[in-house]
Amino acid sequence: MKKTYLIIMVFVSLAISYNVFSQGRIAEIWTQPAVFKADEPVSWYFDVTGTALEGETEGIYMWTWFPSEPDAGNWNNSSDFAALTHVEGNIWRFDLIPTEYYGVEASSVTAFYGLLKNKNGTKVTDAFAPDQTPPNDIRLYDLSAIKGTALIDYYPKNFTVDRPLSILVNANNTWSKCNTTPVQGDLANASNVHMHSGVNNWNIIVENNAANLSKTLLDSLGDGIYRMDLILKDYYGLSDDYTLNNINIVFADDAWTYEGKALNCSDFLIEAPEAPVEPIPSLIFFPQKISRKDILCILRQKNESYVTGLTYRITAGTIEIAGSFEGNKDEMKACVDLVTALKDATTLDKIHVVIKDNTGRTITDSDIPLVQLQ
Amino acid sequence: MRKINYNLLLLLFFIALIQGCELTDDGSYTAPVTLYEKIKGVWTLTSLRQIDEIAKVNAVKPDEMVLTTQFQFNTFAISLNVDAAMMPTTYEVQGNAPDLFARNGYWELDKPFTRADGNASKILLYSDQARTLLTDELIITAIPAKTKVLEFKLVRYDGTTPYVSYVFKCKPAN
Repeated sequence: MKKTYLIIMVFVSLAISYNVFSQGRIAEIWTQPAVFKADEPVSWYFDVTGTALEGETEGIYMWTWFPSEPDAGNWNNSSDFAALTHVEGNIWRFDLIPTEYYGVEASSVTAFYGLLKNKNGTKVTDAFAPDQTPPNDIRLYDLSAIKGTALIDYYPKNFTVDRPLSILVNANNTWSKCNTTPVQGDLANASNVHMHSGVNNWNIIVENNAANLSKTLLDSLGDGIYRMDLILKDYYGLSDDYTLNNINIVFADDAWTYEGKALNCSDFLIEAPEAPVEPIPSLIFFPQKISRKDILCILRQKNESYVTGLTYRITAGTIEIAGSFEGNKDEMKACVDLVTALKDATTLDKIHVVIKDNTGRTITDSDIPLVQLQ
Repeated sequence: MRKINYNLLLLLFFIALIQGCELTDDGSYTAPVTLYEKIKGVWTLTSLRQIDEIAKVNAVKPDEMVLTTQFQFNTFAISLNVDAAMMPTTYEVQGNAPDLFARNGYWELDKPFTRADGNASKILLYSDQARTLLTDELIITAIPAKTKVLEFKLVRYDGTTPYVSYVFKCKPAN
């Protein structure tokens, strides 16, 4: 009888164990801002897709036990203060000031351990904790990384265009007065620090100018450390298919009296993590030879992700022909009727072609010889 | 028995003789059908392809571009006119497409019959009625038969080397 009872207990324990502690890894965790101090407001975001809480409609609650256990003793009936806010789909948000929520000093906030659950604790996720493999936790950025001799840092290192990114600059170490005798640390004297920046070698730029002052302003974290919080896609207005390769930055105050540049007065460059290698675009003139009595088609294939349009201007003696390409990123095409345009230009021996993209960049600026028909 | 056989043979000989001497009415003389009869009339464009002959020879892509919907080529029509004797007279291009060859003039075929050597016939275009001033040549690549399709090719040369051609595929206007 005792043996049977023991076996039943083992099975019940296993069942409870399975149900309570193996309910699925949280699909994604991120914070806004990406870098936050323990004593400032932050939003933690959780994607519970694939967990027992996927599709939950009756509320999701925070259950955390480090650096303290705010809702201790309420496993079967979570408190309202532990409730998350529904964002969309399976994404939920928890807003807090860590020192206040945990009721501890900032120095005690070194890591976060917890999980998500429904109100009565019958559905839970796996834990978020620093010891998860692979990592699946809420990480507190160590500000010592940007102090000392550092000029710039950013977090997370594996950032994406549609999730928060924090860029940190140490105004004590950036370079200024680059047109005369470069000095270091001049930006720390500024009353405010703004970011003049672009993406993909300044392809799309958000200027530090009067119209953008609130957007480009960095938060002061003290000790000459400034932080910019942004979601790249929103900040630069990137299209869905835009391929980000790098971020380009120069810091300055609102009047550009104090600048903050990188070593050797160069622009700061943040390479996108594992930026995919873009194929090399090809420009094709069709046919390979033309006369003034032919139709000329120009194709540009495998355009860069940021190229959304191309224009051409053909000069043939005193005649100018201009127009736009049609198509998409994979292939843009323009066909030009030279037959009609150059009907009376009987002495031409070449045409001059200039092609530009939507950013004003010159794709080609070249002559094409004309076949002289017999 | 032998006598009957001789008579029978004689009878057959005379019947054959009578049949052989009979006049057969096989009609009056008719001139052979020329290509003019097949390609005369008004033809409207169904497709226009531009071929990069250099790319094609070197197996480089792209070697072809479809221009049918560009520059109103879909309005292109050509009338190849003949006289009552079925001899070529004038031709005229209609529509608003660019003039890849002269819009009007006089025409003839280099050979009015299908060539025995297998080479394509050419439509020769002239600016004068005497047909001394050749303006363009259109190589016939498909002659209307069961399928009423006329296809011809305009080839442009850099010296003696073809570098581009335009293939016009047409159907009867009516």
